[in-house]
Amino acid sequence: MESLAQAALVWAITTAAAFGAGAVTAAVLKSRTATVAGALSQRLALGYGALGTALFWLGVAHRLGPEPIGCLLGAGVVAAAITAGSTIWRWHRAGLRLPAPRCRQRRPAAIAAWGGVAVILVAALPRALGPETEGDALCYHIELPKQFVRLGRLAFMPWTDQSLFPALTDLCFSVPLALLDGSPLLRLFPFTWGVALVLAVAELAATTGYRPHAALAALLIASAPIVTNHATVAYNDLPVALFGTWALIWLIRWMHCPTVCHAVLAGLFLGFAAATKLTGLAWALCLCATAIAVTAASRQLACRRRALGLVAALTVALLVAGPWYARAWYHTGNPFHPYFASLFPSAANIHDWRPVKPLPVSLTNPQILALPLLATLFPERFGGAGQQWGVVFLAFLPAALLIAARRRGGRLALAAAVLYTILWLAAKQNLRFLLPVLPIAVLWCVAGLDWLRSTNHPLARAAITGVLVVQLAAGLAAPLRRSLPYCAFLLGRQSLEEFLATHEPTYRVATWLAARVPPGMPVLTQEHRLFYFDRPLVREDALRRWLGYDSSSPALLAALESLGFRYILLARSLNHEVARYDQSLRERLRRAVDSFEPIGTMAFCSPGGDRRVYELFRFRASMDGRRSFLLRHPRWQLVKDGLRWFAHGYGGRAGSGSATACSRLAAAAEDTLRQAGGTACEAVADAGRSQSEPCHLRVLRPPVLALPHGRLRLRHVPGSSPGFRDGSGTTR
Amino acid sequence: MTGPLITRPRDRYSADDLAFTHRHRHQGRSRWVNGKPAGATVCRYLLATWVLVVSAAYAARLCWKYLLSH
Repeated sequence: MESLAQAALVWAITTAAAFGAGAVTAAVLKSRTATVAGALSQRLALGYGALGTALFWLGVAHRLGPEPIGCLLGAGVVAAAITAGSTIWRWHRAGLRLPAPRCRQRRPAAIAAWGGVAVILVAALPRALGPETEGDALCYHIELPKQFVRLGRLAFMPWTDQSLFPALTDLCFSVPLALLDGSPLLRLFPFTWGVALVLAVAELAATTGYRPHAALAALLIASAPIVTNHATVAYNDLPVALFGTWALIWLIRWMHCPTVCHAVLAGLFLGFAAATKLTGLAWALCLCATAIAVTAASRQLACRRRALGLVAALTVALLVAGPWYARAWYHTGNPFHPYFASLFPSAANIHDWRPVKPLPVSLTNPQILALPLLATLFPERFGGAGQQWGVVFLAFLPAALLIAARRRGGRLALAAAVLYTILWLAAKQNLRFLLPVLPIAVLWCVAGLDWLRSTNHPLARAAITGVLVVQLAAGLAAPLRRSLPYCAFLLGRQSLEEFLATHEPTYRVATWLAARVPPGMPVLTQEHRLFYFDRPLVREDALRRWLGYDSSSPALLAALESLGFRYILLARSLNHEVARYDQSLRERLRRAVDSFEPIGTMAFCSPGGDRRVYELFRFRASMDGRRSFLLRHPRWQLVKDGLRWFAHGYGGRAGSGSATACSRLAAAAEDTLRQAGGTACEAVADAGRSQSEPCHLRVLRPPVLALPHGRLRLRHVPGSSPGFRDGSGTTR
Repeated sequence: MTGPLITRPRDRYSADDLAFTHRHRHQGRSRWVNGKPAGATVCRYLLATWVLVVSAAYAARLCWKYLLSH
């Protein structure tokens, strides 16, 4: 609990610092928002964007450590204090009178809507207070900041696919990772961005002429299950939507009032969006193209002031986001590495980047016409049930034509949404990549509800009531259901270790591995979720894509060993719908059994039914004479040099203990899982420390049927290394 | 003297007619044209029907997926 309090304090200081930086930026650029909600949201968005940019430059300057980050936070907190002090001083000068409220008396409907927003956010909060267990977050969103902090710089790691991705908001996770021992409460950061997005949508509604319905707009976006899902996961799709929404707001204002400050603010947010994720770059390009087209169509582009504003916005966006792409270009020759390899032919492009999967709905399929219906009713085909938007956006889709007729920004918003959706259709068709369009979808829902309400027919009243009840019920049930597993942890009935051991498969594997591999020893692995491992793990599939080696090469293992690897961790999932691992390395090892020796096996079945087997092998020391010609290749040399400092970041090298070969442990452990029949269990098999000591299989969590408490003794036949001639064991 | 003598509505219509007209003029549009619903009204009814059907389908799917199928 003490670590949780420290983590909460770090989050509070970081948010205060971001708020202060955002307030100063907003004051310098003289930005005025239509609502109080918008003012809060804009300061948070500006501040976190500025914090991510500052962390990027710290990383480039090899200063990404606790002290520089502390100084950065200190400066932000001082800015926040100065801003708050100046506000209080202004009130004091005005005779301690609070500024007159801009709105008249708030309507009960607006109060109820804000109350609904609060209830939904409170329902999502327990998950935001829990530790991270989501796939992509553990693969790279928080794993790479951990590595960057460990190394003290923004390093290019060729054995990961994502170390050159734009990651502005991911870098914000490096603040708690640098200042704290451990990583609790990382999800509070996306939760803050989620709250800021909800408030930003209220401002967007006020900007586009739906000011009386700003609270309704906030309620609608908060009730989308995808928003509460991404507000409690360390992903970066939600910040793209946040920055994209603010870019849209300032572009709309710039089109109606073309001041330099409006253009600079639009450029800042476009740059933040493009520096957060590649989809953010796509959204920024769509917004820019649409703004230019709409301005040109209204014959206003010839105006010198507008043209200068446009140039200013694009320049600012380029200055903010450009360095991220320049970094990728510097290392690989492709600013969008590893995408668009054909557009940027370079020797550094990686081979076989993610096999192309068929789209959920192909572009030539007539089903594409019913895509909104399919994506709403069958979200599993479009990224999973956690990515669903809710019914209200489909129900009021025809009302999109209403906002198109709006003079104030309606056409711009709708045209950008249509353009981006066309790009999305040709890409991966995951609903989370469509998040920047969601605030515009809220606009057409508000327009449709308003239009429908203007007729007093019972059918219209029933439709409004029905769709809101279904949307709010689903929007509240989804975060409640996701928060339920975290209640025992938050109430103190479950420790952090117990929670992670139950809910995150790789946590128990990391603990098991740490007991068997000395610190600082590079491990080649098939596992993707590397965040909880305290050893320098390298993903074999990513390394193979970078080096482009043939896994059937006879000299491969010798070459890998001479790169510095001493251990190999193989992973296998027995139910492929949960996890899937590339098995090329396993096939290679099977053909060269005399080059390595197995050390141990771990098999478990999680409460969710995920059945996996992990096997740990060690390279034999007799491979020095078989160094491969592959090492002469510059990429291999780059990896070899990189691995040296990578392993150094995890502590010094230590000698490994002797391990006796054992075989069929994996098979025995796998049999255990099969006999458990999907019941939660865990089995660990270790090689004996000497030739005479038998290997043993411990069943740690046994509702196991055939293997009750005890050890499975396997007879070892000397001279038949590796392994046993007879795998049948006896239990006692 | 040419033109109609009676030019203001209150002289031509009953109080109920005036209230009806005022209410619908206040909304900016007429609900009926020549004894038939106006285009906007038809669109509203169509939209309301679509919203009801889609909401019912979505609710039915959620119930099936999370309540009945387990």
